[in-house]
Amino acid sequence: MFLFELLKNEIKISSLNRGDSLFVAIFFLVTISLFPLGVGPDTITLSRIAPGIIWIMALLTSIVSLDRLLSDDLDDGTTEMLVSSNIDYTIIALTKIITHWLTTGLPVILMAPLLGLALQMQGSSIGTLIISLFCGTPTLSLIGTFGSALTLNAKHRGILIPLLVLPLNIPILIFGSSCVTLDNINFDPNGSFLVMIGILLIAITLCPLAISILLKMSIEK
Amino acid sequence: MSIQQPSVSKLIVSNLSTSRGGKMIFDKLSFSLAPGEILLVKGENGSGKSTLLSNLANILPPTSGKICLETRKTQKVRYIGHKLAIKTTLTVRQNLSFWCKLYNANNKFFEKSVKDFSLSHFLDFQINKLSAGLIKRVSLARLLIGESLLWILDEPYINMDKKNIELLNKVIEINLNKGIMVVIASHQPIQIDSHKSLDLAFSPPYLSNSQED
Amino acid sequence: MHFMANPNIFSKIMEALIPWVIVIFVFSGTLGLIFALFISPPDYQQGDSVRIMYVHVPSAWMALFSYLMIALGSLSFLIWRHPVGSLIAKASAPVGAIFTILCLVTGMIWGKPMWGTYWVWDARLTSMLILLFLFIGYMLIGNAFENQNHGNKVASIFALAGSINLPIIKFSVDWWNTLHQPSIFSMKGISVSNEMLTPLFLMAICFQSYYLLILFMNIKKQIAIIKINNHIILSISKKEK
Repeated sequence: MFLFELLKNEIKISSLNRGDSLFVAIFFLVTISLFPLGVGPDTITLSRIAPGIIWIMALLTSIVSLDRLLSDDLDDGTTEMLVSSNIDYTIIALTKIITHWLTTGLPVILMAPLLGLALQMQGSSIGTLIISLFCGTPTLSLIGTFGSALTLNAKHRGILIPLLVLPLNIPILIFGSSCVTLDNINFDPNGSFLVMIGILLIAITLCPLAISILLKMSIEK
Repeated sequence: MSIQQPSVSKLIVSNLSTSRGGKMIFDKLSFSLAPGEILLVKGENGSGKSTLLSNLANILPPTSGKICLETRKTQKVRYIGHKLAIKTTLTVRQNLSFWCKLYNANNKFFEKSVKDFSLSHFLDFQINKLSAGLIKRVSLARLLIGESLLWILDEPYINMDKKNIELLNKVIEINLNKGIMVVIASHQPIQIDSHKSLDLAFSPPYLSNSQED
Repeated sequence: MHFMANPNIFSKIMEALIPWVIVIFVFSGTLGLIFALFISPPDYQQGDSVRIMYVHVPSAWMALFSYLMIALGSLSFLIWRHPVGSLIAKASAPVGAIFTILCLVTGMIWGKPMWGTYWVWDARLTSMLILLFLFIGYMLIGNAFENQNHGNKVASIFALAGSINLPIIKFSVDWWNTLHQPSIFSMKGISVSNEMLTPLFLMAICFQSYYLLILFMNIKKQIAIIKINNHIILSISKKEK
């Protein structure tokens, strides 16, 4: 399937071009290590706010590479080439969403256990955190790519993208971090997981469609 | 898979009109192109050459009118616009192999393309280390990758020296004889014998079947 | 000029309505304020500070109503390419943002005597704050493009995404609030008596007519701008010929 080839090429480019995953990992690591410095090294405080910190940083990490995610291909003519070669806009949108998740969501998930430990989280809460990140980060990529598509050719994209994307992502932040909070106080976090999966399903049905419409609009403008 | 007869895949454009931003770019344009024919689209900047080519390449849908090309579905159109669709951080080889996958082409096409555009020395160079003319040549190498029927070239001669232009013209002439259709937008005359031309500067635009004089 | 066809009818209706809207606005506003400030009784717990409710609650309603109008206008613009839809949506945004700010500010002023602090992460205030972000986002994205028509379409898509997301945000914030239970007080505590309902109702009408008035003036402005631009383009193209 061509989606797979496109994806392979995309990942090759993003690993060579921007070093996305590495950049994301470093951003995530450095910013999170600022919190103990700002809040103080107190173990109880840190372990209480750790899930929130990690989720907020996951949210912020998901938007750092958004400004170039779609516009690079639009500017250098790759999107036009793919469209003129009968590649559907939806395929292009899906490729970008998956690439975004692989280069930002996945590194965040991989680093989360380490940072959770550093922030004094308990072993079981770290497990819950990882599951919550698995349920939530794909939605962050879907909504993030949507935000990137909204701002194609826009002025001041750097400010616009966070302004548009972050409010839309608030439910994910709330349910994601509450999973771990609930687990800490020995409540069943399954409800939050289910809500996050529900939101993910809504996002999966709507975002690729909206992104392909927006891509088409920016090409045909 | 049946082999598409060249005679079936004529390009027929009828009553094509396109407007952008409420402004009519061109109105009721009709022409046709048979296999082995080349069409030069002339006109000043802003006369709608690029728009017409985008219409033909299925990038921009026309406001009204029809573009008939039998084999639209089979990825047999090669469009090379102002933006070259080259990934500058990849090597020449990586770009070409990506196109091979895009057009389901095997290694034979890859080697043919490298040979015809004499890129063999630069295969493992990163694109951003190459000169503008060379980058242009790499982008044109896409024409020879995979089976194609229609080439759409938007100002291909920009950034090219005399040698490169001759190279491109040679490739075009060889492939015209193989039954490929070519549409070129250019504001300068082309050195290819017996081409049709379409001048967008006049309204209504007309099609002349001028032999090169 | 098929574009102007619909807005033309719309502006005629608008012109006919404007005097009536002004009358209703002044009338309900005066009456509502008299009721709110003098006739209605003070709350047995909160005293006179409850009177800010007559501004706070209608502005919250109108903020939501404005977003609803943006969403509906955007929907009609995207599906039926109805230019009036886009005009209504764009004109509703600044008014909606003002109502949201008004709601937040009055909420803060009300919060000081009630909670002892200006800002509490109460579920309603928090959702209102997020609604304000959506309003700001909508206004900025609409003006971020050189091609205004493209900007309108993109903003409409964002407005729809926001309207799908808004119930989810509301739900999540309510849920988050019950999880953390920040304050003992909550605004749900007020039982609204009949004497309070009259000024509330009058003020709601006043706010609604104010919204319509601003909406109409905004749309008139936008149509005027479009006309001027078309005129300029026309005269330039005539000169060129």
